[in-house]
Amino acid sequence: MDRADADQAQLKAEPAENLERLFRDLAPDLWRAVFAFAAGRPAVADDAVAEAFARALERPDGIRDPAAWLYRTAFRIAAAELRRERTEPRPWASPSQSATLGPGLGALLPALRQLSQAQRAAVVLHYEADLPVKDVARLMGTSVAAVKVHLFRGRRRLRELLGAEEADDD
Amino acid sequence: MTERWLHELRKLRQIEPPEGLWEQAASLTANQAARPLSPPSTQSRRMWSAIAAAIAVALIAAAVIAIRSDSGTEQQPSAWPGGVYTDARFGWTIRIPAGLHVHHITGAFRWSLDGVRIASFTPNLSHRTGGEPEMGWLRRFPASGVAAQIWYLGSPGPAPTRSASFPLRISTFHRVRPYVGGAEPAPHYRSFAADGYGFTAAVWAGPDASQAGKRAIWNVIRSLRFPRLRQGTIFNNSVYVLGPATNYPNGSVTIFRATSLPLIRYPRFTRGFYLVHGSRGLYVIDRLFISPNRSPKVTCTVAFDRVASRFYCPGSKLRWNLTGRELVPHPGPRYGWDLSPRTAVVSTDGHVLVSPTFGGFGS
Repeated sequence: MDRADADQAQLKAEPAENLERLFRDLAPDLWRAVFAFAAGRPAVADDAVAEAFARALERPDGIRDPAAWLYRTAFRIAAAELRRERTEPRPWASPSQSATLGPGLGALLPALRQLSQAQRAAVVLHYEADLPVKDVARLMGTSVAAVKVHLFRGRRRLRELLGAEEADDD
Repeated sequence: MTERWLHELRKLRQIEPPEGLWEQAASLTANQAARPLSPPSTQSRRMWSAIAAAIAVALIAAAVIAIRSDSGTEQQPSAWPGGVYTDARFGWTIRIPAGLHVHHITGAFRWSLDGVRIASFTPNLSHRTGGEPEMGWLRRFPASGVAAQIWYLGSPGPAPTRSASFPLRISTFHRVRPYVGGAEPAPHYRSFAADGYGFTAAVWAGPDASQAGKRAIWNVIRSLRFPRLRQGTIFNNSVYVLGPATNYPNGSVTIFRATSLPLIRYPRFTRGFYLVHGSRGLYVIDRLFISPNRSPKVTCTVAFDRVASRFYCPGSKLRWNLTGRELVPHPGPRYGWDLSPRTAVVSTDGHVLVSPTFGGFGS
């Protein structure tokens, strides 16, 4: 039984409780990934993550790989929300909000906004959520080659905007 | 050692999501919130991939068309003859001296973004960054130039309940990083709330800007005022203007029946509600209650028992306290049996504002 099957079996046994446990393990990373994908809109991240788990709560026995399913669903919801914001918008995190969200994000968030949605998704899932390119392609519903192109262009743009020089890891 | 951009990206790991997300998820399940997309299934992955690809293509095409059409219709700002500028959507006003260049800014869709750009020079609008609002014009900022921008950029969710006091003071602005990283000076920036909406104001002054120029642009910001509202009308197409806040004293519960309210067309909204002035402020309880769908269905018009100071569902055992919390826990699913209070806002001129777009309190 692989990890996905084990998760599914657990969900079937005690769906809400186990999903709540999965939430504790997964939600912080997922929220950060969606937050970055939404280029700093915390409200989009909140809604997408909550909505994804709400859907999972409604159909726990229908999900084979809950973690992947939640990532996929949350990103789709966030993408839909960003599309909808063309007509019913929410604010980007302002510079002041960015400052309160975390140190240094004042530079990152405007830079992420300069990327296309696909580039943001690829960069965030690969470099922030540490997912292999193959998994990123699966989550984005596209090919590995397309993800590599998005990553290449996203990296290049971020280098232009944020700098390519080496920085200390702290 | 990692490259700077990756180092910046990994700073995301230092932030934590807000508390209460799980409760939000659970309450969404119980309340059957709107589902913009159907959940995916493993069997339909291929279909979803095809749909996602088609959507991506359509999105890119739409974005290209939007950008082209936007650039095509964007007019170069003309020199302002001097006088009061009124924002068509929110009704706020600023006084602008003659000779400055004034430009109404909107988003791809007119009501997603609304504001005004004022500059001592003719902004070069051909530089585009794709952001909202478009800040590419800052790339070529004259050393002697001054500029200001005031804008609204959407704020569904909990509405800001406290309006800023006007005039906005310079000391409440702070310097932030330049938006586009070009030649433009770092802006003085602040966000503020008024009449239930969040706004932003920014002021730029080039290194060689004259004192008179700086004074003029700050005076524009200082002149910002919000309009007087009229009870019984709808503000900004989606907000009920109720009476002055003093009409609803602490502890009061006032009923507003759907039949007595004008129809809000966007989003279509005809529900009546109770306006409650609780210890922590004003809020709204909808008169329509619909139970979670996986339980025996209960739909009722919520009534208020003034003696017991509680809400109830006539003909059922459902009882709620003033904040909508169920008094006797319902057997069955935990979630969805509380009423959902929504924020009410006091406008800059003291009226109570209620809107389906103002959102709830969160968890």
